[in-house]
Amino acid sequence: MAYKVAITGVGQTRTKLKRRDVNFPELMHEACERALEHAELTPDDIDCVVFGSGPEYFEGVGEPEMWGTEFTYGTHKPHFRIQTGGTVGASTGICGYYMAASGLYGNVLVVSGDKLSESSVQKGLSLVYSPTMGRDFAAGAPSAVANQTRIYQHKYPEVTEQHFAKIGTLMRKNALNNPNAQLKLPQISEEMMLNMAWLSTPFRLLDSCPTSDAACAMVLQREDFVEQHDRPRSWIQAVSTVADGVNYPGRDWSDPLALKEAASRCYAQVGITDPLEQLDVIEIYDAFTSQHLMWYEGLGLCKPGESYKIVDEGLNRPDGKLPVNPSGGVLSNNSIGATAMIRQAEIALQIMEQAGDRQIPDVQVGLAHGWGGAIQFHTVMIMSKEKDIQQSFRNQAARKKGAAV
Amino acid sequence: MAQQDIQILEGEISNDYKWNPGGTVGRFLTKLRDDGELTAVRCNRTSKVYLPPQSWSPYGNIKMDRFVPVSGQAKLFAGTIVYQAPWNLPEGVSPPYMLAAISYPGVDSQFLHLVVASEAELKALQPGAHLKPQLKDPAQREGTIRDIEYYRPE
Repeated sequence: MAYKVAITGVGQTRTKLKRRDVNFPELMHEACERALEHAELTPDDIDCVVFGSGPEYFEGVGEPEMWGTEFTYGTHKPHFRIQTGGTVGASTGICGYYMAASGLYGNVLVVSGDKLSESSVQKGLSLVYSPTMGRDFAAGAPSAVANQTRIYQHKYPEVTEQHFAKIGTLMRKNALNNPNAQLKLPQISEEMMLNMAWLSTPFRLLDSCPTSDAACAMVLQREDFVEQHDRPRSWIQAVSTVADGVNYPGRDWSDPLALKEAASRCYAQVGITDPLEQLDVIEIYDAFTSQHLMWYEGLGLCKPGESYKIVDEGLNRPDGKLPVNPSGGVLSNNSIGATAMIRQAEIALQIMEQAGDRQIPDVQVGLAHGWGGAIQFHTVMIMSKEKDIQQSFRNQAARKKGAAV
Repeated sequence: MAQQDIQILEGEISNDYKWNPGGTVGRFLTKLRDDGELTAVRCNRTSKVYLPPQSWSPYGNIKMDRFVPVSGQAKLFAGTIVYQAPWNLPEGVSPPYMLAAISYPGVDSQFLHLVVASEAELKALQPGAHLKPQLKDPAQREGTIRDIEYYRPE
C-alpha cells in the first residue's frame, strides 16, 4: 500500500528568454532554493533528489546532473536524473512521488529545467528524429504538430484557425496574471494572431510557444512528514505516464490514445466519471494552440470532435466551467525541462490558494498534464485539497449546492 | 577602454557518427538505391504492412521479415507547408515546401517525405491528391531516404 504524498513547496525561477546572469546549475539552484523556502525546510531535511532536464543538446553537457548535483542539494544523497523529452518535468515529479509513496524517503526534492537560450532549440529537437529515417525532414517540433493538426482538421472540418486564435489569445491574456510567465503580450487579440506570418501551416508564429530559460522545483513529503506541520499542501491522488509508438499502422496522430489511457487510469483510481464537472482547474502542456482541442478530447472533457465547443463557449476561461491554464500555459513559457513540472506546480499552488492574481476560487481537485516525444508521451497527475479526495468531492458538491441555493 | 563583463563563452560540439540502420532498414535503403523501389514489411500475425519497414511488430510481438514491394499510386494523407527554414533544410529544397504523410495502396502506415511545388500548388493540395516520387539518377543515389528527392503533385 502506497503512502500518501503531498507537494508542500514550489519554486519557480525568474523566467526570461535569456537568463544571462546564471549558468545552468545556478538556474536549477534558484528553483530548489525557492522550493525549500516555500516548504520551510533546510537542505539537510531533504533525503532524496530527482533531477530532470531535456535532451543534452540543449546545454551541450553530457551529464548535466553530474554538473548540477551540488547546486541541487544532492551531495551525499540519492540523486537521480530523468529525461523523457517534453514530459521530463512531469516524469521527474512523478518519480519523486514514487520515491516518497514507496516509503523509502520522507522529504524528496524534485527539480527540472533547461536553458534553451544556450543553443539552437529546433536543432536539438530535430536531433530526436531517427538518424537513418526521418531526420532529413525534421523541421523542429512545429511541423510534426502541424501535421497532427492537419489530420485533426481533416476529421473535423468545423475546427478552424479562428479556434486556434481564440485559444492563443486566451492563454496570452492569462499570462498577464502570472509573474512567472515569459511571453507577455498585453496587446494580444485574435486579429493579431491571425495576421502573424506563417510558421508551418496551419500554424502562424503565435500559434507556437516561446523558448525560455527556466527551472522549477517542488518538495514532496510523505504523509507522516506532512502531518507534522499545518502549512499548505496539495495531496497527490493519482499519477500515470503512458507512452505510444511513433508511426505504426493505423496510428492516428490526432487521437491521443496515450493521454486517454493515462487519464482513464487516474480517473479510475480516484472515482472521476465526469472530468468536466469534477475537476476545478487543469494545466495542460500546450506547446501549440491546436493541442488544446486534442488534449481536451484525450482528457475526456467532451465527445470526439466537439472540443471546439469548449473554446467557443468559453468553458476554458478563468471564469468558465473548467479553467484551463490560468498560468498562461506553455504558450507563454516553455523551457522544455521545467515546463511539465510547472503544470504540476501551478495546480499545487491553486490548491494551496497561493496562485496570486491567477487564483481560481476554491480549487478542490485539479489535474496536471504533460506531453512529449514524437506526439507520444503523456503524463497525468491529479491533486486535491483534502487528503481524502472524496472529501474534496463532497466539498465541491456542497459548493455547487450552495451556489444553486 | 573597459571591456564588457564576460557573459557568453561560445563553443561548438561536433562528432562523426557511423549509424547502423539495422538489417531491415538497410535492406530498404539498398533496394531504393539499387532499383529505385520502395520495400515494406508485413507482420505475419496482424497482416499490417509497415512503410518504412521495421524489424519488430509491436502489436504482433513478433519479428517481421516478410518483405513486400510497394507499388501503386502515392497519395497525400496530410501535409504541412513549412515556411520557416529549419537548421537542416533538406538539400535542394527551399521554403515553402510541404512535409507530408503519404499513403500507398496496401500499406497501413504513413510514409513521411517532402512535396515540392509552387506555393499555390501546395496550398491547393487536398488529402487524396496524387503524388509522384522524383528519384535521383541511379548514379547519384547514396542509399538514403533522399534517393527519393521529393514528391511532386501529379
